[in-house]
Amino acid sequence: MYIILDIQAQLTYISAFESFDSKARLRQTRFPTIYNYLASLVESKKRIQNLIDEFGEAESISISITGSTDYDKQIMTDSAYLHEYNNKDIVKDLKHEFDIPVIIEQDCILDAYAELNNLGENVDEYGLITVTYGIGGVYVKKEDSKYLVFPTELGHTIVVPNGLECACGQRGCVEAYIGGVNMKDRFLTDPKNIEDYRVWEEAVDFLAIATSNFMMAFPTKNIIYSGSSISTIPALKNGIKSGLEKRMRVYKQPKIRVSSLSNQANTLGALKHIELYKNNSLVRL
Amino acid sequence: MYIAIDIGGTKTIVSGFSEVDPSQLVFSSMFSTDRNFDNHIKKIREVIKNNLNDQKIEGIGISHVGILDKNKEKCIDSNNLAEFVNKPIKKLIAKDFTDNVRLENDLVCGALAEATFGYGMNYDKVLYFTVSTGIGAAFAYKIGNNINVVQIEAGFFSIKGIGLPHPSGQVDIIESYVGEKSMEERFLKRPEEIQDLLLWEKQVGYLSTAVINSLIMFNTDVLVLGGGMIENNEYLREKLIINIESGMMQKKLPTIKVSKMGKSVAVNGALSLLKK
Repeated sequence: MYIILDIQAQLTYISAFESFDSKARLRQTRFPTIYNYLASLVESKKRIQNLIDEFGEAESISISITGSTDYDKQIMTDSAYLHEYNNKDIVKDLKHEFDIPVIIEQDCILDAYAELNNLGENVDEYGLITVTYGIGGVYVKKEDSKYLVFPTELGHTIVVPNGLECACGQRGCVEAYIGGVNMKDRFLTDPKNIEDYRVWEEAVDFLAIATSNFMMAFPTKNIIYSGSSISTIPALKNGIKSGLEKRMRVYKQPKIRVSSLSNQANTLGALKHIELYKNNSLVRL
Repeated sequence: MYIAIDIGGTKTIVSGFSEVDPSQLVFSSMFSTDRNFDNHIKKIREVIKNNLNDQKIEGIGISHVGILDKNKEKCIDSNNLAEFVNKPIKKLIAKDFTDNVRLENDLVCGALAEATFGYGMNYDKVLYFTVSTGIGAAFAYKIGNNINVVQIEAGFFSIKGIGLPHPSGQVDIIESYVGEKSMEERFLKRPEEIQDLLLWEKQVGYLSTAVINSLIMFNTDVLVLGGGMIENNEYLREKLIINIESGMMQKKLPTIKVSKMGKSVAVNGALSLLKK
């Protein structure tokens, strides 16, 4: 059995899977994300133990977290939304408790892994762009039996020199304009409630700029958008194709698709992460 | 002897080395790039023949400006050398000399040069950023003994600006603001003739955006800045480094170096193609 701990900005999901098959889920529980690290650790340990008591021994645990990770050190180093988790060694803490292998990865990168069994299944390479509370971008290329993975921190590429201040400390990051949390701060309402079409015209243009910039580094034939904003806000979903046509002229337009994995993408990606890790088929750059 | 050739938009360099090592230079010849393709190939072959002194050619590495085909046999698009497009350059240069011949894009060669012989020698991931006629970057990463390179069209990064067009059809890209041609069109002067410090301060702002975006997108150990404008414009070079250091907060800064290879960077990259 494999345990997945998915710590999102608002909710934490804990799931048990019998195998690497996404349909082999035994159970999933969830609770509002606890912002105090130690309290969250206590709650997570308790729920993981309950799953082990119910379904038997776990082989490993895979964590998805909302923040940048130092993959070599297996630590989350920086999260704008989970400050108290920064540099906390959750991998070591869970290993110590359960005495099984534990791995951690940033949520956006795991979303890209989840697509290996979904929209990325029949293509050699693709770019995944997440549009949710923040903006992320990952390029995945299949080469022989390996997967080359380029995480890009796309949300923190600068699109307005000296523009709005971003939570990362930089100015003019695309996330400062269209990240869900920042949109909420700018317009004092959940983005889903915003009806002013000019806001969405601007948001589409920013997303098109970010996508075009991504393609200047990775001229991919396949762009997959993922995340709650792009899947629930029609103006974004419907506008991005023509927005990108206006902004990006030097390469052929990519095939654009929107993932249907929704809020399960992190969990499924974390499950895939264990499989890739076990098979030694990841080259993360 | 190992032959390394840099075919640029205006100049071509042909060099010979006794080893795959830039310090083992035997000869070097620089001349204008002839717009007539056949004449230019003839000239390159003459220079090689005249400097061989009966030595055997072990291999030829070629750095070429423009976009190359997938098999790295020829150039398929170049703004500067339209007559060279779709010509079997690799085959024609190497004819009767050797079968060991490799062709690569000039920007990729720049990154390879720094990753193999320059500041990136002791690192696994190297970002090479160049500002000269155009703006570009390349990311070199080492897996085992292989060096792979991702080319980055950093001059084509978009920003939300005032809607400045670029000949490519895109608007508000970095090269619309700081590209040599765009600057000439806007200010009716060559960039090196422009003394306005306020303008240069703005230009460096755009350039640092392109560098920071490249660094944000690629996890790199060392950033090597190169190209004529970086190496020859002290204000631009120093201000750019200050802007990068103060403007990039999302990630830890890599080591920043200014290339010392000058005009030899592409030739050194072409030579590195011959490394076994």
